[in-house]
Amino acid sequence: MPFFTYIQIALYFLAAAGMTVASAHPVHMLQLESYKNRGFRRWVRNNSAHVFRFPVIVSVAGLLLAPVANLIFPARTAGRAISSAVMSLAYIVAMLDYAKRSRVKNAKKPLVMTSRAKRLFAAIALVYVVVCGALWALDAFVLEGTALSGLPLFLLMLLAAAGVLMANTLVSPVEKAVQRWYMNDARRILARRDDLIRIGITGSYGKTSCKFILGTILSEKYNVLVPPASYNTPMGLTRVIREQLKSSHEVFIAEMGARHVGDIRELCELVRPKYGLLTSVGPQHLETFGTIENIAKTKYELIEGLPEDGCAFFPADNEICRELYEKTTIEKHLFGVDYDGAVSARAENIRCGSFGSRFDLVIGEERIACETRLLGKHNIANIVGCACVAYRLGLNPAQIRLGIRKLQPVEHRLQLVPTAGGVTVIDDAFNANPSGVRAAMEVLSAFEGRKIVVTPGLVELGEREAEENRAFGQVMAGVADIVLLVGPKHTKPIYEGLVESGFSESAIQVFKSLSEATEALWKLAKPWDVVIFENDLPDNYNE
Amino acid sequence: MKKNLAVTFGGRTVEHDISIITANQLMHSVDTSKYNVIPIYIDRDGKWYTGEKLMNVGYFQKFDPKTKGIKRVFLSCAADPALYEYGKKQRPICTIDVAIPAMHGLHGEDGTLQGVFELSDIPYSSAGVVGSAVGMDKIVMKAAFKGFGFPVLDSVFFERDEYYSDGDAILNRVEQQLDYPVVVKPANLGSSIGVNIARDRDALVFALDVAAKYDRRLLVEKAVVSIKEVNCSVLGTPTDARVSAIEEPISSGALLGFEDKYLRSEGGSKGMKSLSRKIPAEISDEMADKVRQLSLDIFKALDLKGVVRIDYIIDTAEDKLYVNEVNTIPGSFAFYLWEPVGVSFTDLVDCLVAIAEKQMREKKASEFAFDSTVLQKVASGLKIGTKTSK
Repeated sequence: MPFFTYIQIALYFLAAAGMTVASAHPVHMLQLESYKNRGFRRWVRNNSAHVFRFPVIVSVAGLLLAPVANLIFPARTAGRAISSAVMSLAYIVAMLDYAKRSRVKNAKKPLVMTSRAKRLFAAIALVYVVVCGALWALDAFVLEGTALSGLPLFLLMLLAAAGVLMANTLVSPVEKAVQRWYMNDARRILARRDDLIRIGITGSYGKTSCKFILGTILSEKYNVLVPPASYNTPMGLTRVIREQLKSSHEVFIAEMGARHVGDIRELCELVRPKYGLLTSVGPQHLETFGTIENIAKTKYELIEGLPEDGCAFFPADNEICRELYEKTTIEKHLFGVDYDGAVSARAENIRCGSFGSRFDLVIGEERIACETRLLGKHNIANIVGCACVAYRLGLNPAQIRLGIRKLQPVEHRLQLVPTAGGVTVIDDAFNANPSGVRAAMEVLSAFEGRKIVVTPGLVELGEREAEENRAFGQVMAGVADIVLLVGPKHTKPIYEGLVESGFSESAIQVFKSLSEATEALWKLAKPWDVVIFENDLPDNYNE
Repeated sequence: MKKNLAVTFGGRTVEHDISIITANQLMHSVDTSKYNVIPIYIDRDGKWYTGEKLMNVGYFQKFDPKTKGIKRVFLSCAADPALYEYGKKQRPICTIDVAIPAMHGLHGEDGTLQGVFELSDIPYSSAGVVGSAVGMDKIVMKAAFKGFGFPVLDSVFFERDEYYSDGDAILNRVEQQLDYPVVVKPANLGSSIGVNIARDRDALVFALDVAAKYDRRLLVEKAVVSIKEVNCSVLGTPTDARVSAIEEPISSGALLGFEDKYLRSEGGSKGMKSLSRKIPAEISDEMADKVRQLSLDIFKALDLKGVVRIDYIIDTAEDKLYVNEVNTIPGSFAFYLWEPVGVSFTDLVDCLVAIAEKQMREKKASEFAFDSTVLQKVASGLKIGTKTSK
């Protein structure tokens, strides 16, 4: 009876189309996870109730009803055809309706129909055509005439997430080829630009800050292309080169991120930098690198990637970086703040105040009096490194000084905030790790005047939390004159740390919320006081 | 026949959103039996769009160029008043009979857009290229006022880079020439964005830092302590202008800030009207006459047209009047200053159209073409000296 067979085939393929259309939501999630299967699986796990509850209910209903219908309407009758068509269509409608309901309304980042997303949808369609074809074959050739006839269709919705995963795996070789093509294209674009000054920046910490500092300083003389914050991977830089690099650009600054040995080499092959700036070597991403030697080796790939007439810059205050400097054979420079040996550029006579930081930049024959709104020794060290590069690239002292003066602090990171009444306020609300907090206390100690710390302490550090907060209190005791703590229970270890280190209990005040603390602060603050807001917590920490 | 009235708004400016509100108020006051309104929205990247939906202010919460009915457009700038659809075909959509720029700040109120209208031969309702440019740059505007003999407050100006390279020298210069309190302003910004008052050197540093984020040219001006601010609007052409009621805006702080000027809302209405103000201003008849006369003089001196708002500062201790600045495209077109003297917003639009068209007739009456034989002479090998008249 071919007529019934046709209807059956039509229903299966309609279901395949329905499943493809209904994949919009999982594809959206996959896109947000940068098309990584691992991230997508994590999303499915974390949202399993939402992902599976409704499909399971509907599918089970279908699986139970189908045999009932099989009993009522014998095979190859009009009744059977109608009942299976009605049930199948209801199933497809439920599928689409569910997809529509799970779509994220007013998503911050809605699904973008990029070429990649389109390729993925094509693959999804292919996967479902094959799956439905197989299910139909099972239905038509194995289950035909049995009580289970018509059942396979109702398995489809259970496969939703798996179908998307499968399709994503299927297109991955295609995507790799596409990426390779884009990267080669970026390389071709750069190959035509012999005039372009290419600078690579890498390091465990501070490379993003350095990228922006160097970009600001070099803009006093050149047209500089500085990629946005997180663009430090081969694909990220490829995109910037293909989309943003204009013939008017004279300098390209590439921040190079690494998680594995070989990452920087790959980036160097793409960018072919002539100048390399190393910011630091430390135990960042130690879990993927294994050893600190591997980290140093990977960072050094930048220097190895420089040509014979290239030029490398190393921070003198970092011992590992000094060793790397020693073994470098091309033109090389050291820069630093604390290191006593010979360097190409150093900062001397550093002072802090309501103006920010002032220091003398000693570079070549020059001594340049500099001022910046940035605070903290790590920032000064980064500035000196970038100034060293800028000097090498022909900026004169006036340009370097001007560029340094124009640097803007990142919001809520040791940011000087204007206030009336002569009180200096430092907003360090985004600082949330123990070493950062210690650096902030060091910055505060460099200020003159009465020092006030307002803080709810550190959170989300697990079992180390109490211990770290106690240590925070101990450091604070040596710096602060007045401490305002937010959250009595949570800040108890800080309180204890302060008192243990001999801090006067009468100079500590504890509040239930930040608003209470600030209210008290403005009552006691006087001109020349320096106030630092250290870390900020979400509202749910108000006690 | 109905005229095609283009209203441009948005733009690459910090006052992008305010412009949307100003344009919206105007578009909904237009007499639709006389005009087809063509909204032209310029997005933050400078791309131009048109479409029915752009009449609705709520739509801008989620502007999307891919929305059905939204077309990207452009002007050819080739003495051709047609609006073209952007894309491969580039076909003209309609002819623009008159344009009302409802733009605030840079890239719209400063003469740049006016230049585009001049090139396109489109009659437009705001001041011309020179008037708009002078009205935008507070430093040049002050110099112009001084040159014409209008009273202005003492001030010091400098480049941002001068301040950055030797801050102390600049601070000393300011302190030598002016007494605190002073007001710091970016030179090229409308509204009060980036404007701050400073009572001591520390505050001056912060005020300069803020202003320097917005502009390359900075102005520091003596602040009047016993201050009364009054504003007056002028409507017309340099030779045929009239003045509005005089208002006294009430600011919540020492200075009318951006939030004050645009966002304080009473009774739910949007834009300038909701700012608390006294109309008419509480000033003597004599002072009011002075303001009105000065307004007309300024309008003529700066070659303004359309509807402008001129802001004044009165030092009440000394009973002295100073002109502060001109807004060549004021927020809400200052309609609230015209309603009290019997000009509705709808009448105001009619006036703006008439002004634009008159100016275009004047322009066309002047000669552009001049039959020159220079090129023929060159072609026939005659030597042309550098002194040949242009």
